[in-house]
Amino acid sequence: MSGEGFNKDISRRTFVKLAGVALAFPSCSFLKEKDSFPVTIAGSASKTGHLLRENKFPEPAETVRVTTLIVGGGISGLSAARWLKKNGLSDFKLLELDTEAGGNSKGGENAVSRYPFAAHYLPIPNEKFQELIDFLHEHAVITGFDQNGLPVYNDYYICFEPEERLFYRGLWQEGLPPKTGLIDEETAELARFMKEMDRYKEHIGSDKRKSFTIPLELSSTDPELMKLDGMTMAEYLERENYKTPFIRWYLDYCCKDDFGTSIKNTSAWAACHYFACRTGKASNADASDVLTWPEGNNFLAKKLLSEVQSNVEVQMLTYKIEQVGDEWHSYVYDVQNQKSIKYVSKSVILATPQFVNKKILSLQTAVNWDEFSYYPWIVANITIHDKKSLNGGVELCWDNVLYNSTSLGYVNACHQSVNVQEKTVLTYYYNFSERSAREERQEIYSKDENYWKNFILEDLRTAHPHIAEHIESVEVNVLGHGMISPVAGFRTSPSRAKLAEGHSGLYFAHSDVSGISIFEQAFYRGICAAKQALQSNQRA
Amino acid sequence: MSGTREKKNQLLLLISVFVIATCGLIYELIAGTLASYLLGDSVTQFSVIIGIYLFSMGIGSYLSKFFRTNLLVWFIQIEILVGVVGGISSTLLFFSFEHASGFHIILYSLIVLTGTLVGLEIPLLMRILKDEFDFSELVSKVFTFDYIGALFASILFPLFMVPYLGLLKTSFLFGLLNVMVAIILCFTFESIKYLSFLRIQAIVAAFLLLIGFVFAEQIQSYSETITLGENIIFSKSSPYQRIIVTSEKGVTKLYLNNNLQFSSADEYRYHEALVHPGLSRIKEPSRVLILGGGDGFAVREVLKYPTVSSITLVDLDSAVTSIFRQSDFLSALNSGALNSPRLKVINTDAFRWLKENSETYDFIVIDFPDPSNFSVGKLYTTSFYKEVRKALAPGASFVVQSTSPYMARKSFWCVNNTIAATGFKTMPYHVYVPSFGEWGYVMAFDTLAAKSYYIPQQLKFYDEARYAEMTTFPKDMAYEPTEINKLNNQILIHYFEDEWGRVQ
Ligand SMILES: Cc1cc2nc3c(=O)[nH]c(=O)nc-3n(C[C@H](O)[C@H](O)[C@H](O)COP(=O)(O)OP(=O)(O)OC[C@H]3O[C@@H](n4cnc5c(N)ncnc54)[C@H](O)[C@@H]3O)c2cc1C
Repeated sequence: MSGEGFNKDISRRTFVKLAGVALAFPSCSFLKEKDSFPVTIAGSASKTGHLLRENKFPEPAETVRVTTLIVGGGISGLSAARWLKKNGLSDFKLLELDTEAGGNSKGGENAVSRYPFAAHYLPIPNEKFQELIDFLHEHAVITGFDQNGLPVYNDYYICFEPEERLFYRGLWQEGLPPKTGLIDEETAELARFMKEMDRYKEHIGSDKRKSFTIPLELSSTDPELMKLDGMTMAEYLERENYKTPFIRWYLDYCCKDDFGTSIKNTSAWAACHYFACRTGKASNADASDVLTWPEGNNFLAKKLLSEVQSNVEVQMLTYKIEQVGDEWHSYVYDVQNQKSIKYVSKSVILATPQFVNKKILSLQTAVNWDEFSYYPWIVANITIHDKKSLNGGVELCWDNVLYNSTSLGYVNACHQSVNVQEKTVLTYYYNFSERSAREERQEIYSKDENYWKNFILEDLRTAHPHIAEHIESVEVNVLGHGMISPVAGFRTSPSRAKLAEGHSGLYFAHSDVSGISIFEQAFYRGICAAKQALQSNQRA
Repeated sequence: MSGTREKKNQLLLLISVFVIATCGLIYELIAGTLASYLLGDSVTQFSVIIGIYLFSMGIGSYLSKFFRTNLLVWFIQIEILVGVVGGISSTLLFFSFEHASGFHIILYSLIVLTGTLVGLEIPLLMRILKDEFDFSELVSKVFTFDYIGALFASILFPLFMVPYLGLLKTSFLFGLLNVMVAIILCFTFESIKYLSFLRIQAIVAAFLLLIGFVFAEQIQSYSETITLGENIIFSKSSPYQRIIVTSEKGVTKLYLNNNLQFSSADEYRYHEALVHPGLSRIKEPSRVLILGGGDGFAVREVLKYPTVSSITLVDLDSAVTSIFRQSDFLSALNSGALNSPRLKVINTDAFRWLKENSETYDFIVIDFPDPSNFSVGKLYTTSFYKEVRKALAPGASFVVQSTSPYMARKSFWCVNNTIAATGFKTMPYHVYVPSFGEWGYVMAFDTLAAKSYYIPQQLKFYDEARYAEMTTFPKDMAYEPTEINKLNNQILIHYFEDEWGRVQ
């Protein structure tokens, strides 16, 4: 501003005067934005897990014999345990390194609400997935069956309206994709895509199987469809000539949300599976409905756990597994008592992710561990003391997403409570998959509380400029290896086939054996591995 | 010495250009934003307003040639006017919105006025400065400042002003800036005519705008008062709602979130119709539950049954139940019902209370606000009525206030159909309440007595003869099939929004 004939001195003084006027006004609230709430980083389990890297454990002090040993207490491990028990085997142990079972379906609780650490919901299941329907019925998630034999779900567990909203072009729009606010080209492309996915829903492959279903393993292997696995979703969109930024953003959001990586990595087969596999029928809900609880899928984890509680031991880190003759020797570090135990068993069910198995298995195998990719996540539970402040245009929904933000938005943990309450907990999700998983991981591990506070605030402020004033506390969960990502080629990968087959007495249950990380798959893989173990125990 | 002084003055005038330009654009943005807030369709509103505004600036520029002498005086005068008009513009628009038909006229007149005044500013200023600079220098300087100001405004407005100050404060603030320019100018150029007149004017204007700025929030809440157009005798914001009690010509009214809950002139019709058709058909009722209805009127009606030994009232908002118990004025209206020893008041969420409740009742009165949002909508779902069933003693029944079957026909029948879908028999009925219009209720039961067992003597409206009349529906309110309201569709609030949206 120093053009010729311009007196700097005076210009400054005049401006200071004007600024002084502005400052003198009492209620310039932007000058004193409050963000002094506490932020904590959770994650004791990852610390325990990192002991594996140092690999310095004491010699085992005792030996314990069981028929079957299950390693890992996520959904898959718990489901395997439940299956063993249901089928008459009680001589087994499930060992979990964390302070409680649940894995990605763990939850927490504070004075306001229960909330999930990761998994939040289960879509209305395929009504023909009998084992799952039975489980839900046993635990009164399904309260009965109607005259057509369709399951009746507990009303309080079906996600209430309003379910989803999108902050799009400065406004909250109802629905995701939004019911209003899109321009014609965007609506048209979306409709074209959905039509194609609806076609897939009905489609039967050349092997007479449904093209896309859950469990995923029962889907058709028609070579035409398998071609979709050879490309990424980004390539698919290119090939099918989708142009609008909206549909790219939307599908990228979906892939990150469900598969933990962007369309640039996700297999097009997986993405189509996501849209085409949900055809579950219910008496009082649609295929597009979801079941959810304040604590998310921890509700289901607890139900599984209740059936096998006495067989579960926590804070037990398995660090080595080897085959000795017909038997399996598993070396386990008891974190609390700081001693090691050797478990000897006829069979082992590994319900741990492959990046862990790679480290603990002493075994020659054809599995290429590096095929399994896990991108990092943060999940933050944000306690809000004035829920109403989050309304605006559309009331606070269950799922609240910000268009063009790189986050996945937030879920209102208290959505399923019927009573009026002022406070709530929001579960905020962020998936880091722009760069390689390793780079992203290094980066997020180096960040402190303050960094995450600003990171989250900056994102949420686009939709809620004053949100900092309404936050009571934030608990950040840093997940170095979030979930298995179904990258292009995963469906046809020989390594996965190998894992599913197992290894005379050693069976793999983790959801990553199927390549996608959802409750149903973890539940299913647990049962498959349990069946294999039961058979192998009989042979031995 | 005098050279620097002159330079100083030139500079001051140039800075005025900057401030003027910023303010001018801000007024335009405010008008556009308010119009899109209040009228919807932002694209149309914005383009029309920008068009009219620019055109009016043209008018201003044209008119500038008629100002021949005392240019600086005129300039200062115009600054003050722009400041005042622009400063109060958003407040004016907010208030005038209540009178929807005049709103467009006021909106466009304000824009034309502001635009014209703003359009006068730059030409006048250029003429004031024309002897100080050579022409090309002048044009370049003035327009540079003008456009920088515009950029400044357009960035400041969405990023700071709207989110942090709100529209009312923003316009007061910029009005104030405009007037500050006038003040600074008339304290710098001491040799001009009408000096003291301008000074006083400017200071008064600044003072008024400052008051507006400081009290913008109160002004905003005052606009509620205007909407109601009645004397407010009590107003309070509880954590759940805004409670307003008004009194005019001996008639008392309660508004929750600006929705009329009762008028003392005819509330007896509403409450007698709510309670008696159902309760009179219960044989010797002893335990009654009331959900909602914290004003105590339903309690008053229930207390008229001598056999009733206990009433439980569950209402979310303790602010409502306590004023209707404590205020002499208000408890006179409900005959002191909330102080009855037969009554137990529980302030909590009715849904949650019902889920945890294990007692049963002979009659349940459900008197919630209309289903205008998702939280209230939950109280009209199948899940809620299933919980109600658990609280019913054998042979018991309940009644639900169900909005107007005339104004919101689908909503009314949706309540009826939802209750029926939960496995009850229903008896829908309606009554005319002058201050509400035709109002509806749904009674639900497994069996219903054909005749009343007991009807209290002192009623002003209800008697057995009314029953037949109330339970017949004329064609314009007749039965309609609807979807069933559930927690996972909340269809009722969509019906309700559609139907009442049309009326309002
Ligand atoms: C952020 C996020 C959100 C998600 N949201 C959903 C959702 O909404 N719905 C849904 O269906 N799915 C969701 N998922 C997927 C979720 O991962 C699966 O639903 C399911 O919980 C996976 O179960 P699992 O048993 O296969 O794996 P995990 O949950 O990974 O379980 C593995 C277990 O093994 C334990 N372990 C690891 N190493 C050792 C060792 N050496 N010794 C002993 N124990 C060990 C771990 O502590 C863990 O408990 C989400 C995942 C993430 C990351």
